[in-house]
Amino acid sequence: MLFPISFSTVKTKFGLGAKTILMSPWFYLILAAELWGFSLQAFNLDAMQDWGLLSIFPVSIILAYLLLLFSFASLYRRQGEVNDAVFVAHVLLLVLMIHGTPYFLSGTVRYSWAYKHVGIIDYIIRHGSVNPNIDILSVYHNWPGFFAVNALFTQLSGFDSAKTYAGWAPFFFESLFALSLLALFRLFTPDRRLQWLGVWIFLLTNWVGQDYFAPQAITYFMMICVLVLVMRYFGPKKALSLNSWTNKLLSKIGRFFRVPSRFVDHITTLKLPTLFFGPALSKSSELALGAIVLLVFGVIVSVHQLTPIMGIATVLVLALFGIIRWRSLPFWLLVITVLWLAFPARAYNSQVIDSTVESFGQINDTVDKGLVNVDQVSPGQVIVSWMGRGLTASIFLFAAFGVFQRFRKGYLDLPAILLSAAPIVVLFLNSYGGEALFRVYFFSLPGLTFLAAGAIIPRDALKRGWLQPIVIGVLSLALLIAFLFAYYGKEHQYTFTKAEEEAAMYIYTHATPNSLLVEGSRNYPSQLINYDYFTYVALDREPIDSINNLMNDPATVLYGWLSNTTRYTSSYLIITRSQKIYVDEVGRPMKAKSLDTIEDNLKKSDMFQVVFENEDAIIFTIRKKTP
Amino acid sequence: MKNIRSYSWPVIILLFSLSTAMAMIGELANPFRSILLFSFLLFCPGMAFNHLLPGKDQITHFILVVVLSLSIDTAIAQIFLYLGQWSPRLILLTLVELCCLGALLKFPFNLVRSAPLPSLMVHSKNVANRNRSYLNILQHGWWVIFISTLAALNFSVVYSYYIATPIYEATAEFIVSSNLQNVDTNTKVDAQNSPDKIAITSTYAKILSSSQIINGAMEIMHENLDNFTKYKISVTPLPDMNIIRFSVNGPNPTVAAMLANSIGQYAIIFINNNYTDSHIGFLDKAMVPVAPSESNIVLNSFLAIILGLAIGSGLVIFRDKQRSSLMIQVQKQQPE
Repeated sequence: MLFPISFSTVKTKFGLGAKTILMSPWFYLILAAELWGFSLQAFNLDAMQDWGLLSIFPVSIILAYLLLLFSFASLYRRQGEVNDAVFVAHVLLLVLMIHGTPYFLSGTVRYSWAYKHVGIIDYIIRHGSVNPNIDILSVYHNWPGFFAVNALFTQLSGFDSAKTYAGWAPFFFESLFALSLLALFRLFTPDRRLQWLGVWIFLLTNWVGQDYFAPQAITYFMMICVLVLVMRYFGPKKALSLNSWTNKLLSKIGRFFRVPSRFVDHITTLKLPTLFFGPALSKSSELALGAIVLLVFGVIVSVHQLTPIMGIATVLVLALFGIIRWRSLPFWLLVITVLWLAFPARAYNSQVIDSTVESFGQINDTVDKGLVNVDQVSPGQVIVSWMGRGLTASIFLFAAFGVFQRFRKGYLDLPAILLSAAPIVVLFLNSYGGEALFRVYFFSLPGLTFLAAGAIIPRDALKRGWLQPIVIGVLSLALLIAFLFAYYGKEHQYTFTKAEEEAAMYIYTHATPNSLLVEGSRNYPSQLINYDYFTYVALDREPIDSINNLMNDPATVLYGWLSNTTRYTSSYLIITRSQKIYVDEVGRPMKAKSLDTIEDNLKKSDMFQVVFENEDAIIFTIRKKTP
Repeated sequence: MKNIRSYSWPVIILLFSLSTAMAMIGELANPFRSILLFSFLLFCPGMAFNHLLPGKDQITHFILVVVLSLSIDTAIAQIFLYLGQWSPRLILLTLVELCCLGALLKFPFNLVRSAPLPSLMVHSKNVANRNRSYLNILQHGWWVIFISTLAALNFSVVYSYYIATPIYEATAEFIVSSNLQNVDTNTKVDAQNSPDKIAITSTYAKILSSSQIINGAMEIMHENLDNFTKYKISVTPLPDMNIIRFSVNGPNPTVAAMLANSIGQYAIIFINNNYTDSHIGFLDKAMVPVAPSESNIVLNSFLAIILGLAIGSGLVIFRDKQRSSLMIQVQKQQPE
């Protein structure tokens, strides 16, 4: 019997009626959490397909997601204001279910770059300093803030390495994103339901994966907080309004395009957000808050390269439109950024200044670099790629529809519109290694998701009925499906096993300094310890001619590479499970199964010997010639 | 109630900072240590300065406290990194002290902000009660005393473990006896107690601490005396005994013990070769000390508590006196 105690018994024992329990959002939350916890046992990671984690989703986790969506949507049916605690619980459970699942399943850190970041922390722990002129991963030595604070935490906690806790980063950062966005949206509207819906949509559309153990995750959170600080404490002293200058301009534009005068009048009487910034501040309070803004921004500048640019662009736009009254702030932010680039980060900038100037204004190139060539990837990855693109397009469309809906009801969400638009400027500056497009989307998302929420709740006044919850439920489900494809789509590549970690630890702790490490690809737990001791060569990044030459006779070619004893003290080749998956699914320029071929070839060759092998990884070195 | 709430945060921050410092010192087992440290880094620095962030919305306040904490943590860590002085313990110490400073800054702010309460001394209607026990005043200001005691305790613990270098003392003992080959049986017992023997013991003690012996020992050890400037030697002939106590004090317990034994050994050889009447030898060799002789945390903490109580009590009485004079002024200004 599924429910051995009848609801009438429950009422006598605890004084709660069946209806009270069924109507309580906590009931569904607990049920969803239990279902999710139970479903973690039912995953079979070995059966994962090239379209990611979704391919092995058990029915129970789908039920858990449906329950959570239903519970969240039903909050919009309730009479009166719903307690923040209920919304917080829903949001945190969603974050845990999405971002906790991969870590609970594999027990390892997700994404190979996260291991490189662990390696930089290890460098600081070993040397007590950074080396801005270092050959490998020098960018991190020029922006070391994130690594310094993590080195501090790792050492004081007594952990061997930051990887002990790095797996929790997505859950931690996404929780911070959600709460900081809520603080931002509280400046835009007093309607709590609209605020929380904006946060909810953000969590279901933030598929670009910038929440892993990386500097950009913490600076994103900090940047949102800077925006909260400046709009909250340095917002306009009176309620925002379209001033006479704007009105005149709009009237002229209206006349030029022969827009009906009723429509132009509607525009000029639009309500702008009040920016609920609280009490009036004394001069000393303003000074202290100004110092806090500059401190937080200064830390952002020292942690990440791109975020300050996004921040300056956004604050500049906000200042130009009178959303913040501290007009000189963009100048001071620029000064801090330039000072950092000129002094602590000088070594890196002198190397990249030419390429930065060259890529200035090359927007087509920037967009092309960011998009996957669907002709080259595996069929599952094609679906994943299109799901990501579809999700991106749909949130832009929803946001536009939200602006229109709110506009009809007499609202103009100017700050949110400006927040959505300002980051686009980065597309003109640099391709950022092909990532600029994703970063622009990521930084536009707060504004976009608030506007999209406005499409469903266009006015502040409370309106009860079933339509709104149904729309929210259906929309959430559609977004969730696309999101799970886009976010988990590369999980096959991003998930590493303990055996791979073990192999990586073996090679980085056993190879002598100044060794050559040849890797099948970079996609494995690489450079996580002693990273500065070695020279790296990734086979899949070799020029196409070199790869063709290698594949013709792997053993002989690799023997030639690995036997260079004049430059290196020793040489190793590591091939792991996730390297093979990456090469097989991404397929550029190496053909699928190339690493398997190399492995088989080397195993048969008498020129190589296996120094380490487990179920997911193998490490070769050359066999010393006997005299 | 509002007053209690406004005092409670500084106390919580001080307690939290103190607990974190203690957990790091005592190498508390994980996961408790990492959870405590994580919570400290995430909340404490921001909470110490949260009075600079006005507003009533709790979630917004929470998130701004977190960002302020992370910014302060990162900034301090980077300063140490770029100064080439990377030391996690020193960085933590700086953060702990910053938190304490912030918490203490909150404290006078609250005093200034709250309206002056009527003085307990003035408010009393009965003249005889005006001189009533100060105990009542101290009872009312127990928050002030508590905070000042906590702050003093915190500074003491931090000083003892992070700033003050612990000094270890390694002690060797030598016994001086007559050389049996040179004296006859009848005079032996008397000789042990003779004034001459005590003078010999004092002489040997002087030789033990002489430059010649120390330099000679250094030469044999192939060491330079300049490397041991932080080590101090003291020699004490025990009264009414033929025993000499030889101590070496220094920051490294192993080195202190090694110096005591090496110098002692060299001195034994030197004396026995040059003075044939009396023989000197080890009674006990120096052992590596396990606990420091100075920088005693228990003693320091005890003294800090007493000092904190005294300062806190002084503050409370001073505050009451101020209120008292304020009330007198107000009464004088009121028309008869």
